[in-house]
Amino acid sequence: MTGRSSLPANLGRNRTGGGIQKRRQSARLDREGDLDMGGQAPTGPRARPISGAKPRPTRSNTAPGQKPEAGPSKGFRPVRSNARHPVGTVNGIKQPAGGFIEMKVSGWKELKVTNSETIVFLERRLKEKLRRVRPVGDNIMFQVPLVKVPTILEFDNIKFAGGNLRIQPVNELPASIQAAIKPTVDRSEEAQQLATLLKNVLQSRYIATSKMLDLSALGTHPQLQGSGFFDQDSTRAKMFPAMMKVADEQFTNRAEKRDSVVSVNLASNTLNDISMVASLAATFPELKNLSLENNNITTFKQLEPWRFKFRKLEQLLLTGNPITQLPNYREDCRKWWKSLVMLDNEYYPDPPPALRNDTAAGPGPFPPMPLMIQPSGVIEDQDHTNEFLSTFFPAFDTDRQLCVQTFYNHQSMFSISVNVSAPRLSGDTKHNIQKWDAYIPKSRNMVRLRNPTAIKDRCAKGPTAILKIWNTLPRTFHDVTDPLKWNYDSRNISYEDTVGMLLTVHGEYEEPENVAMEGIASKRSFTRTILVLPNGAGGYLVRRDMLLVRAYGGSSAWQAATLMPQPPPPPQPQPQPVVAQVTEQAAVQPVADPKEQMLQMIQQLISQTGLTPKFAEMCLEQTGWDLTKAMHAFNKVRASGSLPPDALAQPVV
Amino acid sequence: MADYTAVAEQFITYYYSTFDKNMPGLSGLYRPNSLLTFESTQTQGANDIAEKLVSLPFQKVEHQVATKDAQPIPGGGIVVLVTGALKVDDSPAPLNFAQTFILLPEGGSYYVSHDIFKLVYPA
Repeated sequence: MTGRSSLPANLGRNRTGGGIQKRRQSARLDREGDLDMGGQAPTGPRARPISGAKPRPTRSNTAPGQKPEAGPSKGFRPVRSNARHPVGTVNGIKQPAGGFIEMKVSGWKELKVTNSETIVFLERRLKEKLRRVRPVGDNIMFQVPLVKVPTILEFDNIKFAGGNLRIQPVNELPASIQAAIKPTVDRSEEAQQLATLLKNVLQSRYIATSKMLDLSALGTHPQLQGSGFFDQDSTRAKMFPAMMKVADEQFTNRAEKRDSVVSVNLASNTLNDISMVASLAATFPELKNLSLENNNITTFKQLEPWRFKFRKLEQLLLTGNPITQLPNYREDCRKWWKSLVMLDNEYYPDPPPALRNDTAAGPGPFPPMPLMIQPSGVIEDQDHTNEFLSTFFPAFDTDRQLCVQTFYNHQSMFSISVNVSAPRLSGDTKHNIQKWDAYIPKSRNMVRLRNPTAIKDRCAKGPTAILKIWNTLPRTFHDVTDPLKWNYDSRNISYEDTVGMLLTVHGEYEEPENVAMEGIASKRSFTRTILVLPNGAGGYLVRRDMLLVRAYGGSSAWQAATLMPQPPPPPQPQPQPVVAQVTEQAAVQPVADPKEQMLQMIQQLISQTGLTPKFAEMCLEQTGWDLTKAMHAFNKVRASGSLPPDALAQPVV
Repeated sequence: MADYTAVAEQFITYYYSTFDKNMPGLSGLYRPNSLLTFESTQTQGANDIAEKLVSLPFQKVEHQVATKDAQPIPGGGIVVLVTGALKVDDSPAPLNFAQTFILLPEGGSYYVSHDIFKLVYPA
C-alpha cells in the first residue's frame, strides 16, 4: 500500500535543521550596517514595497540597456571549470606516463582501522591500484604515476571511518605538476569554506522582523568580496545555486519556509537572466514579494524559468531593468504571475486574476471528499483538484444547464464515447441488462464510428452544443462523498498562456431513473479526461472534456492497486458485491459452512488491505462482517494514522 | 493542417502495436519533459519512461483498443482518450485500461507530452 499522504506540508520536506529560524536573533545582530534595505522592508506578509529606497550604486550596477562590463552576454551559466579531470590527465590533457611519485597516507591510526582496510578503501575510492604499498610508522607509503598525482590529491582529507585521511606527497613535487595541483589541493577546503561562508551570508542577510532574505548586491558583501567568489564568473555562477541549497537546508518543510521568508531581494546583482537563481522558485515557492531591481533583464524570455512559478507572488520589482520598457510590460507580467497585486511599487487597478479568490480564511470548506485516503497517482494541486471535482460533479448531476453555464465557454469541447465491450462486474446478478441506447447515438468512439462528418459533429463545441448532447443522456448521480469510488490523477499543464489541470477521473455513477427498474443496470463506470483552467473570476473553466462510459466495474481495480505494494490480483477481488454474492449463495446452498464464508471474507480483506489475519478478523468482527464497511473502516483508520504498525502483514511502502 | 483525428488514429495504432511488438521503440515518442503516470507511479523523460515500460512484469502483451476519442488543443496539440483490454502473457483474463495522452506537435510530427495509464477493472 502506498499510504500516500497528500498533505502539502509533506511536500518538499528536507533535512532537519533549525537554521535561519532558530537564529533569528543573531541574524539580526550579525547583519552588516552597510545595507540600506532593512528600513524599507515589509513588516508583514501582505504586499507592500520591498524597496522604497534608491539602490546603492555598486560596481555591478548598470544602466538600463547597458551590458555590465564583465558579464557574458548570455547570462552566467554554470561553468564546469572545476570539474574533476579524468585520472591520467593534467589539466584535462593526457600526459605521457613518466616516473612515479612517493605518496603517504596519514590519519588512519586514529580511526581504529587497520592499514590493510585503509588500503582497500583507498584503492576503491581512487580507482587506482597503489604500487609498493607499505606501512611506515604512522604513515602508509605508496607510489603512483606522476600524472595521476593531481587527481589523487583531490582525495586529500577524504572521509573514512568517522575521520579524515590525509594524502600527501612525501617530497616536493616537480614544478610542472605543482601548477596543475594548486587549484585542486585547495578545493575540498574551499567547498567547506563556501558552505560555511554562504550560511554566514544568509544569516547576516536575513531580516527576521520583515521575514526578508536580502540577497541584493552580493558582490559588495564584505565576506563574499573577501572570498573572491565574485572575481570570476565561474565561481559566481555556482555561488547562487549553492546558496539556494544552503538556504533550503535551513528548513524542514514548506510551511516553515513560507512562514520564515516572505520576501527575497535580488536587486543589483548584474543578473542578465535568472538562470543562476532559478532554484529560488523551488526553494521558496510561496514567496509574496520579490525584487529584481537594477539588474539587466531585458526580455521575458530571460525570466522564463519563473513563468507561472511563485503562485502566491503579490509584489514584483523590476525597476532598473530594460524589460520595463517593453510594450505591454505590466500586462505581460500579470499574465505570468497572476497573483500580482503590485508591480514596481505601483498597484494594479484591478484585483489579481489569480486562480481563485484565495481568501485569508484559506481554502474554505469543501464538500466532503476526503482525499486523504484517495488512492490516486499524482495530484499536483490538491486544493483546486478537490474543489473542482467536488463542485463539478454535483453540478453536473443536479442542473446541467447551470453546470454548462458555470464551467464551459464557447471554446469548450465535449465528447462522449461508450465502451460496450468492457466487462461488467461479475456476480452483479441484479443488474443484468446494460442498456446503451441512450448513449450510442452520441458516442464518438472512433473505433466504431468511421464517418468523418459524424466524428466531427459529435464533438460538441460551446455551451449550447454541449448542453444539447447532455440533454440526451440519462440523469446521473455521482457520489462524491465516498472516496472509495473515485480515483484520479491531476497534473498541472501549460495551456496557452496559463497553467491548468489535466484531470483523469475514474469512478462510477448511478442513473436514478433506472434504480427502480427491475433487471436493468443502473450503475455505470466512467473515465473522464478534463482539462481545467482558471476562468479568471475565481472559478474553473472546462476547456476539454472527454467522457467514456462503460459497464459498471466497481472500484476494486485501483483499491487493489494502491492498497497493496505488488497487486497479485486476488481470485475474486470485488469487495462490494461479494458480500451479497456470498449471502445469496448461502441462501441457495444452506450446506455452505458459515465458518468457510468468514474465512473467505477474512482472506478477501487481507488481499485488499495487507492486514494480518488477526487484524482482518478483528476489523470484520467490528463491522458486522460486512466487507464494504470493513474496507471503509480500514481506510479511515489508516488515513487517521492510527493503524498499528503490526496490523499489516506487509511493510508499508 | 493534418486532421487531428487522423493524427490521433495513426498515433494510437502506432503506439499500441509498438508497445506490443517492440516496446523499446516507444522511447522515440517521448521527450525529456514527457511525463508518464502509470497506475500510481510517475516517470519523467524518454529514457526513464522506456526503462519503466520495459521493466513491467510481463513477457508478452497484447492491447485490444475498444474505444478512442480525441480533441484538438490550442497550439496544435491533441488530447486522446483510449480504453480497451490488455492481455498479458498467457493469462486468459484481460485487464481493462483507460489511457489519456497529450500529444504535442514538433517539427511536423508529434510527441507524447503526457501519458496517463490506469487499470480500471481487475483481472
